[in-house]
Amino acid sequence: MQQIEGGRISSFQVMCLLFLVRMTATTISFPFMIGHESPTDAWIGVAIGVAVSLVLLELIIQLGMKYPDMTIIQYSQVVLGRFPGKAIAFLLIWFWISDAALTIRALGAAITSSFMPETPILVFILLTVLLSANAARNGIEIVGRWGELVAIGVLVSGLVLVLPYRAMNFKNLMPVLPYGLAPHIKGSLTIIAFYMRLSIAWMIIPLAHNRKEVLRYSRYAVLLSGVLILGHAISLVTVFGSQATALAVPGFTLARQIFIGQFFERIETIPVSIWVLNAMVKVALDFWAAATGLSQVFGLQNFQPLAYPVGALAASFSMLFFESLVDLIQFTKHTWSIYSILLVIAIALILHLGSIIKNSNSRTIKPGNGHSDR
Amino acid sequence: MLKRLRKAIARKSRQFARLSRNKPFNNSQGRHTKRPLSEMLDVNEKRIRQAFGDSPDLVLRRIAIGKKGRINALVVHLKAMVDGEIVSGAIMKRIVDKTEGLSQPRMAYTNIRDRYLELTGIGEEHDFDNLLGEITSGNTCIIVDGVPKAIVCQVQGYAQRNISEPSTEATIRGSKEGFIESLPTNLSLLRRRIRNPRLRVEQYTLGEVSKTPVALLFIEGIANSRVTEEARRRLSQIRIDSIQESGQLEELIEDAPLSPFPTLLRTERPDRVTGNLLEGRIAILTDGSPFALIAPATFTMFLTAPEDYFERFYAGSVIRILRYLAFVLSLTLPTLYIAITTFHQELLPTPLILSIAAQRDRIPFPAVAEAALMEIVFEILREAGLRLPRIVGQAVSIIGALVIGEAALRAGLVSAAMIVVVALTGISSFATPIFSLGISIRLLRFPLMLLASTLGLFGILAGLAALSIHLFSLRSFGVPYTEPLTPFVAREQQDTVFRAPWWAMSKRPRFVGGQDDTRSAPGQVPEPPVLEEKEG
Repeated sequence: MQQIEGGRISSFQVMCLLFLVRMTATTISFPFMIGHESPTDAWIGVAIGVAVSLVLLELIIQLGMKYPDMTIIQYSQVVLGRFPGKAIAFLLIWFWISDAALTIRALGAAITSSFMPETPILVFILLTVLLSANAARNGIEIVGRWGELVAIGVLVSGLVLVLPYRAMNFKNLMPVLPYGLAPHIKGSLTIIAFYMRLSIAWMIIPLAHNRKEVLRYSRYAVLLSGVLILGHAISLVTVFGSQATALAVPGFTLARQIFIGQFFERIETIPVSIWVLNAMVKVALDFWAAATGLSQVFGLQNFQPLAYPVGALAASFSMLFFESLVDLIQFTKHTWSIYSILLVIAIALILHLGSIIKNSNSRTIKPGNGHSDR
Repeated sequence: MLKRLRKAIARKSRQFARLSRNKPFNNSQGRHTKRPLSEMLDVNEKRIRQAFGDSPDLVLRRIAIGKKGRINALVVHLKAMVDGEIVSGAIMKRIVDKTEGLSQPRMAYTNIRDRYLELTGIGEEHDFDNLLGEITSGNTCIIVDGVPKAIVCQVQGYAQRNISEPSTEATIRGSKEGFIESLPTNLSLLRRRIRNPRLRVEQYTLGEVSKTPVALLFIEGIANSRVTEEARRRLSQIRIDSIQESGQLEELIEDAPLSPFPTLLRTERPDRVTGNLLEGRIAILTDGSPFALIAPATFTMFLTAPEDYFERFYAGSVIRILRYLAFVLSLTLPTLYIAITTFHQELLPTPLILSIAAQRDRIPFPAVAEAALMEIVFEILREAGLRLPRIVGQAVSIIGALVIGEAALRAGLVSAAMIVVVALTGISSFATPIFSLGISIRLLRFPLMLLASTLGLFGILAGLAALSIHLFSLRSFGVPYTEPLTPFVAREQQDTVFRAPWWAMSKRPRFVGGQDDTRSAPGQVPEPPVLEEKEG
């Protein structure tokens, strides 16, 4: 099917982008363990979350692989018919824009709270939106190249998890499960919710050069981010003990704990700048997905004019939705996590079911829409 | 907005093209109707004289040839453009001597053309305008009365510079030859390095007035045919009055005319050109310019020097990494200084920040003003150093070093740390091997400094991110500008940040298009001979 976006990206770039989309929440934004009932083994909740997400992601990615030539905006209309399909498209576009707003606000809050407290948050929000919208406007190839470099940087910045080895105390991991498993189920919801952001793969799979490899590479992305997230959790608990769940921007605080030799200290700006870039790439991808999605829904020839308006929407949402950092955290933890899981899984299930029904009805004509491609 | 500007530029250039096609620049050239030569020698002579407006350097020598000198002939050339000895010895004398037995003008003409002239470069011209072109490019033309044709003898001989060491791209190891301003000599430099008929040269004549010869070079079978086709298209679209330097050509054919980054590599080293030709790129040589253009150019090519390939690979790789570092420093060092002293003092070790703060205590300006002042002074010094007559050089360097460095410090205008930063930045910017990239970095430093002074490190980050998004969006002749880095091409990492040993680089870069991408046979690691077992 005809794509509005003329660019093509490699499967490696797909992996990098998916990896970055997931890592944003861990590195830059949310204190994902705040208010956890049993801080010392918060990492167990993270582990459960990652494990569950691995299964759920198969559901998401497999849907994309069913129709490897189309974006979800296109095949939701093929599977469900015009109006239900468009409704799903709008839901997803809304999801991407609001998700971008969430990230932008979190990024701004992280920078203002830990680096430049005197500068108004709007400055950072506007700069981020301008940069990301510019990248999105240039197309997926540019976002992909940017993501490729930043992803390597984020991987290297994983050193932050090991470098504060002096401050680590593995006794902090004890006792294991003092309150049983039950509280961790709830804690793992946020972890799973952030993995739902990988549903953006529904937009980029048709643009990959070698679509057969995409499935494998997106599994790598999920695994890699899972390992890093778990590493973050363990590192935070061993360094900060029971205070770990009270940190505003845990990644930044962790990076501050690096002291090596007599002079190799206060290097947190290096990982933090990489993480800021990480968030920018993620926002750019959101903008790109929303802009191409909108232009596909309305049958426009070109998505580029929509990039900046989408960015402006996200910027104003990010200022309007949340009153403060606390508000943002509460919203993310209690509302957004459940909402995003429900939305993405429901869409995935509906489309899977729809395609199965459609295929069984039309088997006499053509055996499956996307399977023939494999 | 850029798009609109680009469109406006395109429109203007189309207008210009139309203009130049319709309106001839002078009365004899630019017209496309053919004007054949006349049979009458007098008419031809008058027309040539008219066309050149009785120019004093036009030589119209009438000679009498044939039996008893009954046939009139005319030898025409421009005085300082031909090799006088050849004209008098090998042309004039031989024509007069040899044609003595001939009475028919046509007979004389064909014999002169085919038998008598002992020259390798002989041509024939029927058209009057083309004849004028031959004269202006330094050829000698012979016209015989009664024959509406002219013999063109290629006896160009004009003063040209000797081949010397390239002044902007010096190396320690490697060839010391650099291009000069003459296209034939430059072609010979390249032919000597690639002795293969597959090295193709296509000549273009660009400039409606100047008629500058421009050569497009590539190696058939290695160069990607899409790239050569694109180069041909771009070159043949040019409509301009003159091409004086390849820089002018560069602006007319580059991919991103509004970008601060060059998308064509310019070099005055023949070995760099041949190296790139062998990787499947194309080169464009312009007569009158010692700089060749290479396309497609990628970003990392601007940071490689010929030595990387000639030194052993450890040294080659380490020096290259050093150059990358210098590149980053030359872009970011003053901005980092501004950001850290203004916003992020905690990033420096305490004793250092205390000492900087003590120095800055006496300075009345904010860090950004201080940095901008010193950077501008440095740029002025550099520009002046480039232009000034050699004799006053010493005076300027004393002023530069003593007055601006030492005295500015004592007068409390700038801090010592700032001078260190500016000096380091300046020196780092000279480590960029290709001048055209270095110059864009010098320009980009100033907006980055402004960002750093308003938003600190986040400003620098945002600026660099914007810059990299721009870099990612560039293409040069269809090849992504940042190619081997991102999109990541594993195979080309052999020659990006590191330079793998020659026996390990058996493949050419990817964009060659799979025509012939084997550079060398694999498995050529040199091994010492196996010693035979000792006897007894």
